[in-house]
Amino acid sequence: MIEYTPKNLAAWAKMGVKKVVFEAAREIAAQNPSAVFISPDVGRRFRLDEFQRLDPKRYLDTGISEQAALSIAGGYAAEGVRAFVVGYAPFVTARVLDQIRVLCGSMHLPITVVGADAGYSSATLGPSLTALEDVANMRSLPGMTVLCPADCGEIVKSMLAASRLPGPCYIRIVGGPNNPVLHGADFDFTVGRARVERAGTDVALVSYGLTVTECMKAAALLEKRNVSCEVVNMHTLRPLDAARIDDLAARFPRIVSVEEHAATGGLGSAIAEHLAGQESHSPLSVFAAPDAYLSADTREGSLVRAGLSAECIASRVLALTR
Amino acid sequence: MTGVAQTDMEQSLLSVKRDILSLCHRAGKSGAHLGGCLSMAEIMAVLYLCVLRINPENPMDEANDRFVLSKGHGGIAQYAAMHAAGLLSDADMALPLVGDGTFLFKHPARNPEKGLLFSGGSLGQGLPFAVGAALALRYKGNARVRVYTLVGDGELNEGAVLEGLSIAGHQKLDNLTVIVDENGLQLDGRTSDIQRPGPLSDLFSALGFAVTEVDGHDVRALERAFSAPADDRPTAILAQTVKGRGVSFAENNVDWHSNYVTDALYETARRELGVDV
Repeated sequence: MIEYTPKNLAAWAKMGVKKVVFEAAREIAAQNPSAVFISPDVGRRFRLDEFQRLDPKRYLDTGISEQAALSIAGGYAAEGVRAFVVGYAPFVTARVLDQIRVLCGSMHLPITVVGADAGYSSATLGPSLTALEDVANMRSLPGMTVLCPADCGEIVKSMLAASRLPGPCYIRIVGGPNNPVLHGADFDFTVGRARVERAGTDVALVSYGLTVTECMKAAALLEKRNVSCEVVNMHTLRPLDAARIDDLAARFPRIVSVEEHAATGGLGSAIAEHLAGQESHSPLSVFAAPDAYLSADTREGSLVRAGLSAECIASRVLALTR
Repeated sequence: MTGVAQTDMEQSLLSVKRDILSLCHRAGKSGAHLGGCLSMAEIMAVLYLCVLRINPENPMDEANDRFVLSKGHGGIAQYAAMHAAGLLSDADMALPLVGDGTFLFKHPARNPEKGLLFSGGSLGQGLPFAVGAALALRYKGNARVRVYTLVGDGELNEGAVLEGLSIAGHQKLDNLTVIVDENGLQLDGRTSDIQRPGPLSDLFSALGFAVTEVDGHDVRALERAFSAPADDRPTAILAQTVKGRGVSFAENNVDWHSNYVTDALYETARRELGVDV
């Protein structure tokens, strides 16, 4: 039985996002006699190859065959076996979008796609490894649940939640080893219910993934400038927590969405889609990746160039509130 | 359901062709895939009448063999064979091909309660899906059940097919039979003019399949081909067929990949197929 103790949460953050996937996978395998993990030649990165020792039936390495990985997952799912496809975000979303359309959007098979190295996680490897459109693609498909965990503890809870969903799910994972810890102790994680990580009164910062931590740091910087920020962790992009958006729109003169993703189809879009139907609402500012694939850079460097680091967020919010 | 008597099989095959033609006619001006349905008519008839072990009382019986139609544009031929096998009713076959309240779409939509396992139309996906189903049955320890999937020869252009075949061979999936409907035509012309991969038997053998080549319109030869699958690796049945088989205006005619069966053409085809009585 997995435990969300401060010690475990800290240890998972240290081992990093990829290896924590195995912690969740092992727990899912223990809870569910009928669950398999499929990876297109990146299982070792996620320690999934340990299943070859523990329980070989639980793990299938398809080789570098993302399309087949998805279709095979569909075959398992149709046979009542819970299937997780674990790979790099661009290759298990954009490259296989048609497979996911058919298997998940149309056939509603309960496949979970785990896309790691999303956003600028692997930006040192250049645009091909930069996933800035995965949320838009996955969010556009009927019946898809889209989860974007903000730290390693949330990755574990996301995967366990996905293993119990009746339909398909995409889990977007950003970051590497030595990840920031948002939750130092056990926490509530409910699919479709946003979390308020910090209360404030002047500006609502809404984010998901690792930029939630950037927003927390930005809020601390802005506090010194007498701007009080509420930080909302919108870990579920679909279904969107519309009640929370309504609450923010009612309480705050300005909402700022922050995401390590293209503006098109991301969180800012989702909030705008919801608010657009209302007679009047607070203005929404969308802080997102620029409309370009940046040249290779570190994740930190890319965030600065994209205006999404804590310091950038703070100065952009200050400019808005002046 | 094995061992169907020859006269019964002939009658069933006529029924399959009658239904194919009737549904293609009913599709009207939006057109239907008459050519590819007729090339696979005997394959479907033999599968549903002689090979697949399916509980007619329960299409979702765990003990049923699985059939995945990868060339989704052959849906009408699948329905026709299921009808002949008693798995779809006369009322089912009278349903419209579009709209709410029907399931009888030109491209099948997944509907396990009706025995339709896969939503077709996007080529190259059914085959690796069938590989997944075969792996899942192995995972569940259900060794008795076999998975069959039918792909078109044009469909072999899809890279995802190669991925799926390669994995099936590597995994030695002895519970999988892949049938290729080698009708030699695809939407844009002759398959051999568009992509020539070399002899398919060499390709499938190299990928780890036991390969049988067969005349895909010879019912007895098809029965024999299905009767002895390999017990240590996946089986491929390469069925040489003729697109639009039996209908003069459609045979080997690329225009009949999908086309409008007018009332006049319908009557001609009924006569030529011998289903006008």
